[in-house]
Amino acid sequence: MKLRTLTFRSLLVAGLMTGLIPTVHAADPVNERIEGFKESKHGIARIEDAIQKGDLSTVANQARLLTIFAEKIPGLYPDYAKGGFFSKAKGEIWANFPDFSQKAKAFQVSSQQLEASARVNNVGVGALTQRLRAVKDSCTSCHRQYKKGF
Amino acid sequence: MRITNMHKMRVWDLPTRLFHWTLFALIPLLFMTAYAGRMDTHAAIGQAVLVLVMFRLAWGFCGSQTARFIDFVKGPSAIRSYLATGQSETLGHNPLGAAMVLALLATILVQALSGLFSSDGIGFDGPFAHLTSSVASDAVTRLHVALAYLLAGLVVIHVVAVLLHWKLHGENLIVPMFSGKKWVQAGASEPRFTHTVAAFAIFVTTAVLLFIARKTL
Repeated sequence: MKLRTLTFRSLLVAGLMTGLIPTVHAADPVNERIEGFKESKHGIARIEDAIQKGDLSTVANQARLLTIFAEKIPGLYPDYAKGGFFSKAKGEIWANFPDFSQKAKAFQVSSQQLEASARVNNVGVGALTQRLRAVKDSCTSCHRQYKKGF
Repeated sequence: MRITNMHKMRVWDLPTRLFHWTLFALIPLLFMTAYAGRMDTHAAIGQAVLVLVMFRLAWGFCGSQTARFIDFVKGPSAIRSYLATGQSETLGHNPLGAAMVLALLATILVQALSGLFSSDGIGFDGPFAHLTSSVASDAVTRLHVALAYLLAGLVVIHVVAVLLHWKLHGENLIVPMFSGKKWVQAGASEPRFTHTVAAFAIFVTTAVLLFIARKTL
């Protein structure tokens, strides 16, 4: 009797946990993109300082991280994760998803170009600053249309 | 609170009252402009708040009696005594109120200063962000964002405390901060007041110093 009760309870708990996984998973894109954008901002600050110091390795590595995150962006905005009341994500993201994805792609491409430039020998501060400006412009372009309070 | 051994007396000077209610108006605007992304407006209001706080700090040393820190900052023993007896030695802020004044002034000051050096990383820089590295500015911005939550919490505690004080002790602290007059025990000596012109001079001097700093740094 006891073993049957224990097995039943175990199955019940396992079933509940399995059912809860989608709920838990639903919260992940929101937190992941919030953290990803925060980290991108920190990364841009590191890149700016690294360009001034001539630290091309840091520029390239941080740009690589930006590229990796940029590639993930469209996937972090599924229909079921539009964020709460204080979310900065505008509804236009889902209404114009192809355009939003294009802007994320622009962020990705500009970050890749910055990384590529940083891996070239004897690249000048001016060239890197221009590449970084392009990255920032890609951020601004998307924020203007898809971020609340911009 | 009108009982026979009490009378109304002027306690709060005009500069202190103006400071309080101007801050009351500007702090919500700071939150709203930050949320709305109106960073230029946010920065302008932030600098106005910095001038106000710098004025209040100076006024706390050379202003009217009840505005001076030495009048109302009495230490933990005074807070304990106030909590035990409900009696305050000062005409102005009671010991708990004093603690809140210090907490708010310190938080707002650090918030305003950190805002000067903050940056959003892509399009907006505080007026002195160029004086630091981007990583340092980024770190200061994180502090600025975190302190906003602390400031909001302190403001809520302050408002709740004032309302609770009214309910529990029957003393309205809000009207005196408008009128300047409080009900006090008979025989209480009127506080010494510093002329409002002095407050105006301090305020203008602080504003000019900030303006000069912005232009030269």
